[in-house]
Amino acid sequence: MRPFAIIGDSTCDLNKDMRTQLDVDYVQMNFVLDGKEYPASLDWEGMSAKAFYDKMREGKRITTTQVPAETFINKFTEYLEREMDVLYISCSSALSGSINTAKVVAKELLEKYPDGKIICVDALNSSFGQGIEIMWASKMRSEGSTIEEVQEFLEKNRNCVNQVGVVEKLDYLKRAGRVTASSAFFGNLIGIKPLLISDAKGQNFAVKKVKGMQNAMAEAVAMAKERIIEPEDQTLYISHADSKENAEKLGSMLKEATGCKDVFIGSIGPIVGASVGPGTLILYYVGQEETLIGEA
Amino acid sequence: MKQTTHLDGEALKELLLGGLANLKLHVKEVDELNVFPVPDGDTGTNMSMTMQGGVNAIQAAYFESVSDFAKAFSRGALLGARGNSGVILSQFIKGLALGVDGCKTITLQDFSKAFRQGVTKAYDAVLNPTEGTMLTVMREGAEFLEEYLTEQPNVHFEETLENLNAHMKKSLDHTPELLPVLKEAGVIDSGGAGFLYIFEGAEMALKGEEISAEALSAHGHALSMPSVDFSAFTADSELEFGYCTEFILQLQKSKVDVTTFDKQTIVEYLEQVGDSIVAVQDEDIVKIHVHTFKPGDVLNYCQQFGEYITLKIENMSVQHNEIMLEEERKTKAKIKKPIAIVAALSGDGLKKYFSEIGVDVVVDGGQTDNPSTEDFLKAFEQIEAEHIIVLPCNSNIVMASSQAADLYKDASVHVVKAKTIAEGYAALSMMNLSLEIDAVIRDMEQAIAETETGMITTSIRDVEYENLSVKKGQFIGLNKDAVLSASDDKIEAARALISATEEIEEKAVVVVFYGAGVSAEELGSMEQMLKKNFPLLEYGFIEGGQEVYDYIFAIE
Repeated sequence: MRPFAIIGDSTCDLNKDMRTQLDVDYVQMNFVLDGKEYPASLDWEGMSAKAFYDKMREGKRITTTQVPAETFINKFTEYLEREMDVLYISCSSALSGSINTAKVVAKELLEKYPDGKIICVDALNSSFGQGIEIMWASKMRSEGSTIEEVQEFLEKNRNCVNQVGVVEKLDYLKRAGRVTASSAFFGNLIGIKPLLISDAKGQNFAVKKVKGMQNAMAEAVAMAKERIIEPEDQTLYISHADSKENAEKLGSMLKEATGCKDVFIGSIGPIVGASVGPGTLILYYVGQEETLIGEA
Repeated sequence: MKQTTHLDGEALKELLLGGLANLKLHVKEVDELNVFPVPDGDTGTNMSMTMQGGVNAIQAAYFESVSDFAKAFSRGALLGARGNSGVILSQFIKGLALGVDGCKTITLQDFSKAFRQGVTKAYDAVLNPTEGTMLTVMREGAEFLEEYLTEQPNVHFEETLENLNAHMKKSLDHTPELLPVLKEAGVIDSGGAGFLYIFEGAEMALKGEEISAEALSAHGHALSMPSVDFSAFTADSELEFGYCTEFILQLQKSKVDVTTFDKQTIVEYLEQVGDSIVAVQDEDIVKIHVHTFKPGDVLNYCQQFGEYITLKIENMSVQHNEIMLEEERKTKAKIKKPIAIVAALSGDGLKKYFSEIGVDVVVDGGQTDNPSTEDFLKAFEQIEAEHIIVLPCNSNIVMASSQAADLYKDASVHVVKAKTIAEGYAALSMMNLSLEIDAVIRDMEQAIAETETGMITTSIRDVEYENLSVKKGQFIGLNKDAVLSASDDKIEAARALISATEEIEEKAVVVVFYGAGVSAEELGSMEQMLKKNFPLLEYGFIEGGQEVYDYIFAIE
């Protein structure tokens, strides 16, 4: 059996330490600010998280681009040359088209490397949701699972990775087209914090509205408490867009409410950050399988 | 009451002017009744044009003699006649005129005879007289008149017309029983209705009753030619109803022997190429109305006898389709959704903002001009929904909206008792229409319960409260109805108000609706004060444009 590489992308929000520990790699997307394109580094090379989110607070519009084909070609080739197969665990296809590019590239490359395998799995999640799936894959690989076994497991369980996002305002997501929410539900409301799940198709869906950030955090905890499975064995993941204080507060609320083993807090990278906006908190945990499909 | 026994030319003129005014008042209604013979919705307009033609011919002149008047009027009506109903009416008038020929004044007996002659003429004009139409109404009117005057020979015009009209009304109401197409459509005959309106108008004029003066001008627009809706007849449409073809033909000595020519020559031809034929001949003038698919053939045929004085050809499918499209538009214009929201608001900013966040229909009204129950009912009628939620947004409006809710039957109406703008906002902001109605209402009521309303206005008198003394002209801070602060400084009044708000430390958000009289500078000071004194709260500022209250705070 050939060894296989596990590759995420710029939306998985796993930092350098975590990637090293898990022995995983990632392909970079890009973001565009003031007409200039920057590689979307998960380690904030080139631009600090603070600077990035401050730009958004100032009202600067940041757009994102999916993983370029060339990036896939280079990264996949690198591993194929080393006689390794590739497992690409992509950002939700509802949020990024990267997986489609990857599949096209893979097909072409495999003509050149007929012995190789490139398997692309749609995480149907982003941020630490995608990260959790990459952690699962890494753990299974170290326990001796084949690439196909990992693929099968992920495809079966990806909707058990639950998300509750709290955004300061829905405007960023709306502008980026990365949310399902009826306009009657979320008009131009003040101080209303929408709670967003990742629905069964991997799209953000605004399920609830709460007044004020503190109330929203409490509601997020209540939602997690209701759906979480075996919290005592779980580490919960919170990613934040330059809102560490609230993330830590949410963390301790979660620990108290669910009795979970641990809470890990990390930064939302530039790609997800550009879509959700500063102040956002996203909580991920393993819970009941998500079957809801959002309708506007 | 006057007791008129004789009418002269000028008196008759008054009667007919009254008839036209009353008909014009009801033109649209008559148009909408029109389903026979072609549902093209123009009966009222056509009859009105016909009467107008008569009026135009007599308006400028003075008529002592009934005979002279009637002759002039009937000639004008004939020239002005449009449509089937118009021509029938013009023939009735023609008959009336013949009936009073040579009379300087007329008695009721003369009138009755003339009426009968009018009916005869009208029947003659139509090739296939159909009962259940204007013809029936006028015929039964004539029969009634004859009987009535035999039984009561000494009555006056006033009560005779009153009784005649009552009888013709009965006859009109009976038309659906005679003409199945009316019954199917659930209407009475449109021509009959128009005919009755003319006589009712005459009755009013005779009795000296006022017929709305605006009627003539206000409804005048209905008489102008409607603009054509091109989407009513497209490349895919079928010519279902043919062309309504009307003309007045001046017989020409160079072409025919005018003195012996009989309109029957034309009628026989028309019977082969069309229907709804009405043909009238007045010496050397022939007036034709026909529905045909080949108007060109008709025109070519008739031109061998004379030349056209007027010509009108209309595609009836267009008219019909326009009505259909209009009907469609009417239903489409309604707001269709499972749950719709109605709110009573004043202030342009508030109306706009509330519409953005989910209000479907705004009822105009607020602190000083409360809307009525009827205003709410009108708002409900714009909606096609299973449930309507009403947000009164003012304690004075709760009653009227509740009454309207009880009266309205086409939807289940729920008044969610938002008693202030702030409470209305709170309810809307937490609304989730994807839930069941009970849950939607519950969420709204909970949001209202969690919201405090603060308002800043000017005191209109000196008042002493337990812990507060207010001078006239001072700014006061109200929490709903309770005065919580007073100050000569508006910003300070607001600060003290918010400080005094119950459980302010538990609140998260303040939405500020600023009124019509607030300057940008003052708003800046207000924002500064709020953020300095209550830094943990999140703020939003909305231009409400409301009167009376300079600021309305929704404190949530």
